[in-house]
Amino acid sequence: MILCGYNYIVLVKHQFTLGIRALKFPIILIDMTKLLEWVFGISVIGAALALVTFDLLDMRLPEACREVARPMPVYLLLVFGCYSLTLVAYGVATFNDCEEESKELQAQIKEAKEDMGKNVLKK
Amino acid sequence: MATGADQAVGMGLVGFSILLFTYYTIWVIILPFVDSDHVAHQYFLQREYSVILPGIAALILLLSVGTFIGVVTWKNRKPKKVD
Repeated sequence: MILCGYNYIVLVKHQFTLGIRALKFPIILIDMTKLLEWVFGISVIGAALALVTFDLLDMRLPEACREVARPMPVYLLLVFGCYSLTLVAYGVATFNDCEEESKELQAQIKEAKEDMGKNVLKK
Repeated sequence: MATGADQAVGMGLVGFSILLFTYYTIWVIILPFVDSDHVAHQYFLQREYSVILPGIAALILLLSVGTFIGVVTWKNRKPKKVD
């Protein structure tokens, strides 16, 4: 990914290394981290939304497109909420209960309590 | 596998959130492209409500969470020791 400014070029390293040729501008290398990916993705989506909602390029889109874009932030938030609710609820429904291990543990706790009681009496 | 109430509640919530997602998607994304004299429009409210209702729901959620935290904090307060 390459971003060009007026007096610099920022190269973002991806999995492969780029051959750097001698250029007139100084080159700054940055690692492509997950944060950078997320920021890039969110800003692309945000820019596209803003373009359609506020008609920044005077594209004169059909009315239906603008009607769809207006509640988009609320819609994205609701989709995210539904997705997390689904994941959590599915985890609750498929949780592994381990009945046998639970009974074994209860028996061990009872045994330990009895042992402790016996030790105190002996002293 | 979780048993009984756990499974019922979990699957119920999954079904509810899938329903909510489908209804809201149709409301926001598909309806504007459907002709205004189609029969589907009578199952959905006006478009303004598609922003107002989630806003009210979020407000109620925040109020409930805040009230719950307040109630629990109030119950667990310990009187200051007098030295």
